[in-house]
Amino acid sequence: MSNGQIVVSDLTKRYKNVTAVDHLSFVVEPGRVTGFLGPNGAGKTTTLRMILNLVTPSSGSATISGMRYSDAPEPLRLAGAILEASAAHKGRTARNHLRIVAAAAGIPATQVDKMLELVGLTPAAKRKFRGYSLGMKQRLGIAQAMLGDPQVLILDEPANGLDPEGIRWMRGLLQGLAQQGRTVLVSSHLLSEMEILADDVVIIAAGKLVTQGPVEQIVGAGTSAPRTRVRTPNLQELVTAVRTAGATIEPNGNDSHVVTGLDAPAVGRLALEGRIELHELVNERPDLEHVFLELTQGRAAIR
Amino acid sequence: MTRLIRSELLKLRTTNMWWIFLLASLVFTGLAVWINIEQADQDLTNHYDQYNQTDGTPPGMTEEQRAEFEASQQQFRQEEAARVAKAQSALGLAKAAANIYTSGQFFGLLLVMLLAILVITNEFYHQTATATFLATPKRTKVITAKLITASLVGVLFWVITTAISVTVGALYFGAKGLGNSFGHWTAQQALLLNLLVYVLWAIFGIGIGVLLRSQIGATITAAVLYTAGTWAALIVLQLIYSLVIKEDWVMESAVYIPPLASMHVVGGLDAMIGGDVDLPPRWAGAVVLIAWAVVLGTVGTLITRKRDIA
Repeated sequence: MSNGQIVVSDLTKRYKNVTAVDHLSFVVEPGRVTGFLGPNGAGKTTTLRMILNLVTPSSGSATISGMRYSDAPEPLRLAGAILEASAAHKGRTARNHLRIVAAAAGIPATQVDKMLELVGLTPAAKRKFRGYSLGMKQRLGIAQAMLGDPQVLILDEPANGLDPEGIRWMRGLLQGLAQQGRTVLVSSHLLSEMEILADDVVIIAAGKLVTQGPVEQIVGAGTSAPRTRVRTPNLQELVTAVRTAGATIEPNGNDSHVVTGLDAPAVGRLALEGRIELHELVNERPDLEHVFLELTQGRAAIR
Repeated sequence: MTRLIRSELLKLRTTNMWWIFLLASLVFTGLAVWINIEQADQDLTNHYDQYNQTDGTPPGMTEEQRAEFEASQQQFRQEEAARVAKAQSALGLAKAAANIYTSGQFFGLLLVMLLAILVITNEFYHQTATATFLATPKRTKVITAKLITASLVGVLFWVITTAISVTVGALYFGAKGLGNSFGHWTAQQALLLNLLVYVLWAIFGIGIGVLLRSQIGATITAAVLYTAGTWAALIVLQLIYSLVIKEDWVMESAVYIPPLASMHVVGGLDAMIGGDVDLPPRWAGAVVLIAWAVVLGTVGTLITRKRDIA
C-alpha cells in the first residue's frame, strides 16, 4: 500500500504539565499541498515529530502509506523531512553531510550530487556548513529530504529565513512535487504564503483539531455575510442608508468603514440612490488570515 | 548494519576531530614509552656494578670501619645481583616488557572514551540526531552501529599505541642485549588484554554520552572523573586502609574502579598500590570492566530507544 496518505488518528502527547497534542486526528491526501497551521505552541512540531517516530506518542498512532514510519523498510524512500534548518555538523561540508545520510540509507553517492544540483547548492557543496546562510541551510534541508526520492514530504516551517526569491522557489518546488502525485505536508505560520501555496489546510490550536479542508472551502465558510469597505465624505448619510437597508457599518481605521451584510454593488446602488459621494468601494474578500484568527481566537495562549 | 557503520565512520572522518585525537595519542604514547623505558632501565641495571667500577675502599678508614664498609658493600652487591637476576629472568623481563608494550594506556583510554562520547553528543550538539534517526528509525540499530564504530576506534588506537610501544620497546631490549619477551605469555596476555580494555572504554564512552547528552558536560565530567576522580579514590582507599580498616580488601577494592581495573588488567596496578597487598587476579579486572561495559551499553541503548528527539 503506497498511496502516500498520512493518517493521524487520536494522537496524543502528554508531557509532565501539559498535553501538547490532544486526541488529534486528520488525514493528508497525496497529490496536494497541505498546510499545517496553528498558533505558536499549538503542537505542530510535536505532531510532525510523532509522525516521523522522533517523539513517542502517549497514545494514538500516525501512519504514512499505511505503515508506521519506524516500520518502513526504506524510511527515506517513504518520507523526507525538514524539521530544523540548522542541522549539520558545523565543521562538515554539505556534501559530506548528505553522504553520511545517504550511506546510512543505502542511497548511492551520485544521488547526493543530483540533489545538490536540484537545490542549487553545487557551487557550495564543498564548503563547510559553518559558513552557510539560513537560506542555504534550508536548501540543504530540502536536498536531504529529497535524497530518497520520497513519496511523502514533511516540512516544518521551511520558509523561515528565506528571502522572497527563495520563498517563491520553494513554493514552485513544493507545488511541482504535489503535481507529481506526492504528498506534501507543510507547517507554517505565514498565512498569506500558505493561502497561495496550499490546496488543503489542517488548523490546530492547543493540541486539538480546529478544522480541516480545502483552502477555498475553509476561507469561504469563515464568514457568511458579505463585507464591503467604503470611504466617503458623507458618512452620516451613508450610515443612515445602510442601516435602513438592514445592514451594519463600522469604522475600519484610515477613515474607511466596513459594511457587513451588503456586497459592493448593493452599497454602490444605495449611494447612487442617496446621491452619496464615494471615494472607495471594495469587496472585502475573506482571507485565510482572517479566518485563522477567528477560528483560533483565544486559543493561542502560552500553555 | 554495514551501511550504518559506514555512515558512522564517515561521520568521524569528515571532521577535524579524529586527527586531533590521533595526534594527542601519539604524543602521550611517546612520552609514556620514554618514562616506562627509563623505569625499566633502572630495574634491569645492576647498581652495584654501575657505581663500583673501581676496586678498593676509601682511604683513611680504621680496620673496623673497613670491615663494616666491606660487609655492607658485599650485602649491596648480593642484593643487587639477586634483584637484577629476578628482573632479568624470563618472567621479570616479560613483566617489564608488558609494562612497556602497554605504554600510554592511561591517556589512550581517556582519548578513546572522549571520542566515543563525542560520537553520541555531537548528534545532539549539532542537532544531527534528527537526520540520523530519520534515516534509521530503528534506534537499536543506530546505537549498535555506534557501539561497533567506537569499538573500531578503540582497536585503531590500540594498534597505533601498541605499534609505537612495541617497536621502541623491542629496540630498547635489543640494545640492552635482553630478550624482547614476544614469546612470553605474560607479555602476550598484557597486549591482548590491553586491546580488550581499549574496546571496553569505547563502549563506556557511548554509554556516558547517552546518559549525559550535553557535549561539554559529558566530556568534562568523564575526563575529570577519569583523572582526578581515580587519584582521589585511590587516596581515599589509602586513608581508609591506613587509618580505619587495616584489611586487605580495602585496597583490593581499587580493582572495581574502572581506570584502576584497566591498569590491573595489564599488570600496572601492583606497582601503583605497592607493597604487600595481594590483588585479585588480572582477569578479575577484565570481568569488572566487562560488567561496566555491559551495564553502560545496555542503559545507553534503552535510553536511546525511549528518548524523544525534539
